[in-house]
Amino acid sequence: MTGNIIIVIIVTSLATYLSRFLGVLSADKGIIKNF
Amino acid sequence: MIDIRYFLKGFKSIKGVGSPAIALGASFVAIGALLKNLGFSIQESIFSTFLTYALPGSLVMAESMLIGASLINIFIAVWLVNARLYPMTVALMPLLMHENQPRWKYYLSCHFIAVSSWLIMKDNYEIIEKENRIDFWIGIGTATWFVAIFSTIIGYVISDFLNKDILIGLAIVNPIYFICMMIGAMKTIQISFSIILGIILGPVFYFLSPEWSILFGGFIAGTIAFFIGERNDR
Repeated sequence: MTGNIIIVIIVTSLATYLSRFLGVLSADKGIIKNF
Repeated sequence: MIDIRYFLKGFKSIKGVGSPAIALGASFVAIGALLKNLGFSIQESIFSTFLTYALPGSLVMAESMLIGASLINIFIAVWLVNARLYPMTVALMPLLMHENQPRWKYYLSCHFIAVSSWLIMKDNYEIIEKENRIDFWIGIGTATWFVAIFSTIIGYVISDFLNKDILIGLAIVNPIYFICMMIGAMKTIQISFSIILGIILGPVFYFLSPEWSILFGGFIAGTIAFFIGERNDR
C-alpha cells in the first residue's frame, strides 16, 4: 500500500510539473512572447 | 546564486489580511484531512504537498485512488486538471526572465506556480527590477509552498475534529477567493465577458452534461469573449 501511494504521488507530481515545465519552455524559446 | 535580499522580500510579501496565502492554507488543511482519511501516513501527506503543490491535482489524485484508477488514468486526469498551469506559466515567465540569470532558476522555480503565488507576484512585480524578479519570485513561491505544507500537517493532525461539511467549506475557500479576484480583475471587455458568460454558461451546461459543464462553459464563454474583444479592438 505504502509503495503504491508513493508511486501515485510521484505520478501526480510529474503530471503537475509537466504543464509548468512546458510553460517555461514555451516562454524561454519565445514560442509565445506574451500572453 | 539567489540574492537573499530579494528572496526575503518575496518571502515576506505573503503577509497581510488580504493575502491569497490565507485561502491557500485553509484549502490545504482540507487536503491534509482528506489524505489522512484516504489512509496516507503523515510523511506521505507531506511528500504529496511537497512534490505536487496544486490543490485540484491533489483532489483528483485522491478521488482517482478512491475509485481504483490506473496510474496512466491518474496521470492523464491530473495533467488535464492542471493544464491551467501552462498558460499561467507562459504569462508569468516573460516578466521574470533576464539574460543575467541562469536558466535553472526558471525550470526549478516553476514548481511554485499556483494561483496564490501567481496573484501575489502579479501584484508586486512592477516594484522589483527585472533582473531581481526571479529571486523575489522564488521567495514568494517558497513562502506559499511552506504555507501549503504546514497547512497539510495541521489538517492531518486535526482531521478527527473536522466533519465532512467543514472539509467541503475549507476546500472551497480557495475557489471563492479566486472568483473574488477574477471579479476584481474585470478591467477589460474580454475578461468581463469571459467571467460573466462563464458564470451563466457553466450552470446552463450542467443541465445538459454535468461531467462536461465546466469545460464546455469555460471554453465557449472564453471563445465568445475573445472574439467580442477582438471585434471591439478594431
